[in-house]
Amino acid sequence: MLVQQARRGSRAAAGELFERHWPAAWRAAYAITGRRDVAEDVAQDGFERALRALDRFDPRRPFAPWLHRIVVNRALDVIRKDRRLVALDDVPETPMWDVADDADGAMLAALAVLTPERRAVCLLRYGLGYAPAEIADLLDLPVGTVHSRLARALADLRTQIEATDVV
Amino acid sequence: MSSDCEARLIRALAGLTPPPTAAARVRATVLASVMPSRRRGRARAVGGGLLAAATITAGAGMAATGNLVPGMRQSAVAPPDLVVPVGAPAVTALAGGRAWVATIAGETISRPASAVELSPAGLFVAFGERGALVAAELDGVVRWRTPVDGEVVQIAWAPYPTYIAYVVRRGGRHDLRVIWANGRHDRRVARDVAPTRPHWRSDTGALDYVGADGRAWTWEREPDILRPRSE
Repeated sequence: MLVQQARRGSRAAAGELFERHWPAAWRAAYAITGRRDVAEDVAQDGFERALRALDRFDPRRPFAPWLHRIVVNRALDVIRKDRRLVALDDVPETPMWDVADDADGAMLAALAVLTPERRAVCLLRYGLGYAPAEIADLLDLPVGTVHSRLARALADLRTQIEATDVV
Repeated sequence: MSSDCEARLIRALAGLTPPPTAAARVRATVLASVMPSRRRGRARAVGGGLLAAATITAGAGMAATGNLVPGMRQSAVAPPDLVVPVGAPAVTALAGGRAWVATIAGETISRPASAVELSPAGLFVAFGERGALVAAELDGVVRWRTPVDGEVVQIAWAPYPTYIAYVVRRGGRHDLRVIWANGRHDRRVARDVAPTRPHWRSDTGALDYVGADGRAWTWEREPDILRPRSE
């Protein structure tokens, strides 16, 4: 209903869509990029792209997966471009979450060591609650690839966490 | 162990919450950018004469069409809309206190700015504003922002986008600064320069600029020296 109203030009409906979906969109962008300033821009850009393309959106489907697909792919794209921009410097490619020095912070620090693609499937599975089949659909990947990325990501996280003696 | 790891991961990710102060600002920006009423208003602003005395810059590598010259700035009468020349990735304009970037993808972004310049390959755009120099992608996603003590009035990307030179106005004087294209290693190269656009030499990478005394100067990066342009 909100999507249909927004398609008809309702600013109130578009604003309500933003209120409902902004936290998850920002979390997705931040979990993948690891930078607050970039996360805000990526999530904002995702919203703008999603709202501009409402005419192509099937209103019978939920809005969130569509938005999350845009944001996640945008975040991955930004990371790839970022590598080009910083290629001449010694900037580390791992994200720099400003995390607390506790178990959650240790987990996020371990997450930062994963490849962006593995971080993305971890975020979609454990941060946004999608099933592997849904993740495969969102990222245009075979389900088997999603399962293998999740398994390898969890194995890497366990190794990292055990190395820090937090778990 | 795996389920414990998964539970910890769920908890850690759930703790990632956006700063509350940003939501209202981003919401307003998104709605102003996307919703039809504002969008039409912006389009009218672009075509309605704001650009009558605009500075327009097109990306490098473009085929020169009309009165646009690759890599150069010039005053021009505005077209009804910003049209990306054939072969160029984007075109930028500075008008009414805002920078406008129209891309080949058909998108137009705009933000308050005192200067704007495309990178040589047209992958990025640098904006100057009061208090900051900003590098962004062509769709507006900001890659970095570095604080500036003053207002950026001129920007010049090096031919290979390793450096950005920019001129900052502060208290009636202008400083020439150079920063790496990744937003690091910002430094002042010269004090009291003229507010004209510096020029990178494609052969040596030296930077030519005009001093406040009207004389041409050159900054050599290796070794780090300033010398009169005529020498």
